[in-house]
Amino acid sequence: MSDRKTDTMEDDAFDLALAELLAQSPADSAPLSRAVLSRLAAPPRAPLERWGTEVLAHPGALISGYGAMLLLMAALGYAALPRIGGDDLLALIALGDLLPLLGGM
Amino acid sequence: MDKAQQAQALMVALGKGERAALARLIALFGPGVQRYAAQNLRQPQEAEDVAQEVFLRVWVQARRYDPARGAVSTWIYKIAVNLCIDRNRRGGLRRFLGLEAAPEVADDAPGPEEVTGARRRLARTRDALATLPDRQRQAIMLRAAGGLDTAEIAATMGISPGAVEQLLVRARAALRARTDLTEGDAQ
Repeated sequence: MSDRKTDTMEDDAFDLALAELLAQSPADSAPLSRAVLSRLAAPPRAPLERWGTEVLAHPGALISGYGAMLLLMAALGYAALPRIGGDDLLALIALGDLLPLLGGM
Repeated sequence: MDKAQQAQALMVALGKGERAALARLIALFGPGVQRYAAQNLRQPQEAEDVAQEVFLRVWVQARRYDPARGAVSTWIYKIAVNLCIDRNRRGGLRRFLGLEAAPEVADDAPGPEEVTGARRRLARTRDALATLPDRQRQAIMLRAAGGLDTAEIAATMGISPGAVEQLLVRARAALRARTDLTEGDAQ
């Protein structure tokens, strides 16, 4: 019982020592308070605007997603090609692409 | 009036939209929340940003705070714990996509000579804290930086008081082994 009490006291002292040591690292509430109150005073931004800002700041994620989607659609199209007309369809599409270049027929 | 009662009174004032009460609440809990975040974020420089987000949420959700469900400190630190977890998760995804630099590795080289012993001990202790498993670090930081008792830590982390005690025992043992932090000599 006495040992347990001593352990608890040692643990409390250890926690206190750790708290005092960590209190030496700078963490001032005044700048934090100013920053929070400034953000509250600023006009609220629309969710779409926030999203736009995020995308413009880090466009890589959106570009990667778009690229992955294009690759996926190309793979799906390639896999489905034999079922929707095979090489004949490809030839028709290629002809369709050429027609505007020739001025139509 | 003790800190808990003061915080309860400030929450009532916050519910009425008094911004001065928010500033006083930040004075009470801000430094602790910042220290907790600095130790539990993979990017410690984001600690102030997270602390701002915590108190903005406190402001927005003040009316939803129910004193019957726990102390103000528990409620605030629960927001901080969740925000740190979210921030670390998002940071992990961003690092995976190469959008964010990897966390800075601690410099093993000795610091400048003018660095005092206390600062060296602080740096060593912070390094030791960083090596703890997440749950142990959360528990010991809620105790040391937040000043929460076992029941409050349990409510904040959503686990039983017994589980908190186990986490604290392991965290203290690991810290005792890796630092020279002993009772009564933190000054």
